[in-house]
Amino acid sequence: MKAKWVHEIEGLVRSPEFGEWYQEFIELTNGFKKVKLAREDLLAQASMMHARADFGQQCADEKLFTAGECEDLGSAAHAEFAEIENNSFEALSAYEVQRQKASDTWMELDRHDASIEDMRQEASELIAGIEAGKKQEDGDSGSAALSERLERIEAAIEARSQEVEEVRTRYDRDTQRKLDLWDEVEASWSRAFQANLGRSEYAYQSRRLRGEAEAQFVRAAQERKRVDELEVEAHQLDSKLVEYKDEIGMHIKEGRSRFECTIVEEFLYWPKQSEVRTVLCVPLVDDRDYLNIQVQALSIYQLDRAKGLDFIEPVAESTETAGEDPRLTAFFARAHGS
Amino acid sequence: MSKAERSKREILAESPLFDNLLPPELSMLAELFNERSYNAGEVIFHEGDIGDSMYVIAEGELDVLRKNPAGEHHVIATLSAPQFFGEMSLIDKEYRSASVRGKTATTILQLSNENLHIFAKNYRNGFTWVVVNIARVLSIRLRETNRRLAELL
Repeated sequence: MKAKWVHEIEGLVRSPEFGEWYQEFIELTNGFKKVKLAREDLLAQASMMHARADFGQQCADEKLFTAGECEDLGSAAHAEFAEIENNSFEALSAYEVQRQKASDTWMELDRHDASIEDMRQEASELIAGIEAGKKQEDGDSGSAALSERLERIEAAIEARSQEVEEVRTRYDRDTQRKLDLWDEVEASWSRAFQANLGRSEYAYQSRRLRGEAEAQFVRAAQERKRVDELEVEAHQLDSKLVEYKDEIGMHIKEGRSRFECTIVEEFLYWPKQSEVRTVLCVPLVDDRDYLNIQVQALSIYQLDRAKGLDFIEPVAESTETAGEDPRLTAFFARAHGS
Repeated sequence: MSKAERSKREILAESPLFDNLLPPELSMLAELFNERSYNAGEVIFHEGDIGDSMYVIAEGELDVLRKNPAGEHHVIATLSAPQFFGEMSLIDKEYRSASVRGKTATTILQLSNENLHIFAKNYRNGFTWVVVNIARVLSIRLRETNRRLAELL
């Protein structure tokens, strides 16, 4: 490899031959990058699809479990419904018995009231008879008999009235018991109503969850199939990448030979004429972040042979003038006030 | 004209730090300055950091902040294009005396100490001139400080 002057490299970089070579290099590297990106994109899609399928299947499993729980709840609700309904029949029967009892008590009370009414009627008539006897003043013996009868009837009314109070108290108690039993019957029916609806709603939830889980299993299976397809597509690009790599390698090899330089992958290097330790280089790519200076493709830079790209420098244009720099002369002339 | 339409060389040519440089010297300096962009609120460097670069503002505004004894930051100056900062670190290699933070989205040009060394190797006279310019700036600041001190006394 021959050492070069800067102007030789400038001439080379400007030459149509180099321009064509560089153009082809850019097309090949862009093609390589495009295929590489497409492959990475496919693998990323496959990876996401795989994760999605896994997650979908996990959700479907959870839904199936929840569907089972709903079925258990439905069965429990059904059993509760049956038990409540049986109990409600017993409660209804007890209510009917109590209702009959209260009715009988009512009738008994009615009879007592009627008999008291009869006795009071009889007492009124007796009082009227006694009053009439007093006016005639001739029936002492008859009047005494009536008074005696009136006393008996009044005693009987008193006794019957006490019985009526007892029967009324019993009637009130029986009626309250009847109402309580009716409340129990209604509460049973209400619980049975809810239990029965719970059974049907849990059955519906279970059906729905099973349906959703099945749909998710199907979707997960489709996604797994798509993962396989994407991986196949990505692997098809592997061979394309290898082709590009080979072509780029060949192109670089050709560049080394045509331009008498060293090319690793993205920089061309020549030893600098008359400076043994210095290397001239031409980047084939721009870089703004990873070198000590921001480099532009096809510009000429120089570097120390030992340091390489660890420290890259722009190529200095000569400003050497004979004698002292006139700027400094002027500066010191001002400083001395001349 | 916005920064996008101006080259690094044009921006540097506006700075008093690079007065009197010859065109090739200015061109090489432009290559040695790296362009960096910051968002508003982003810190360029912190007070106490080791200084190894100077900066020229290409676009936007920056706040210069110093900590008070209670540790709170106070804005002591706001800089905008084509002002520069951090030049003292190229001379004394000391710790940063203040923090600098983007007040707006900002583009700045950064010259590291090692890249200045490249310039010094290649353009000794140009380097001398840059140092003279830095000394001038520092001299102006010192005179201003002395004047204010005299007023206070």
